[in-house]
Amino acid sequence: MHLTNTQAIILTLLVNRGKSYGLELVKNSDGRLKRGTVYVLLQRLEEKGFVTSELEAPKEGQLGPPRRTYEATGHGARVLDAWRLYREVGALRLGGAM
Amino acid sequence: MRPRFQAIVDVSHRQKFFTFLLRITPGLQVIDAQESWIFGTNLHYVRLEASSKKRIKKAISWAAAVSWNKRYSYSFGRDAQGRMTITMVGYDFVTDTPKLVRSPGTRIMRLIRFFYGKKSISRIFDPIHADFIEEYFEALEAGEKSKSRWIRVRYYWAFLSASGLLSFVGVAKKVVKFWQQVA
Repeated sequence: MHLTNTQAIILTLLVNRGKSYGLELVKNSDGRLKRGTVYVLLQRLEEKGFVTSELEAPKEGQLGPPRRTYEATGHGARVLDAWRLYREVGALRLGGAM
Repeated sequence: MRPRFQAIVDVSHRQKFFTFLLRITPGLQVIDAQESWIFGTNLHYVRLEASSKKRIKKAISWAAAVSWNKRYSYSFGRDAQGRMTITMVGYDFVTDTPKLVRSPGTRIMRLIRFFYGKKSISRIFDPIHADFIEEYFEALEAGEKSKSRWIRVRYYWAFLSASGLLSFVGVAKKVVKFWQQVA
């Protein structure tokens, strides 16, 4: 399963922080995620089965459309672990070659 | 060439100054000034002529900007004789009735709804819009007007980049599908 760096950042945040919505992810990413792209990436992750989402019930006095919260699935967490391991092994190999 | 558009402009707010500005605005011709008494308020109107509706709009925007009455809006209508009317509404004009303001991003969302399907809107653009409204009103509540303007710019860019990325993903998917069929 292919995972890009930005997708890995989103998955890491979701695994570490639990249920979040897009703006929370952007605010917690220290500028690594952008407001315009985070939802497109979340949709891609959902299509791959790495995250699930649900619409929050609108709160009283809330402005605008209801929010969608995202959560990492067990499959997504395992893929993230595999991705990290792959990166570590790759880095070790690169270090050994040098 | 004879100007074709007539407009009646409400100049009750800063009557003399506004009338003066409209008189010196290029492309406009002030025909006469009228006065009427409605609900205990004396209203002053100026009848204008110009070659186009656009020119009238532009001239009024310019005059309003020059008179430091930047918080204004104007609406077009027709009077009993079928002439076009323009009503200027300043914040401190006639009454303290609050002005209805469209929430930010409404127009761009209308445009997006025209181009994208329900799924993309509910998964991508509605959440961006919700974040936009949250951040925008947070800044306004904190009295940070310049920040709210910056948020507006940032979110218009966000809408643009999301639609760009979405189109790119769509094209990439089709290419991959085509490649898999060929190979």
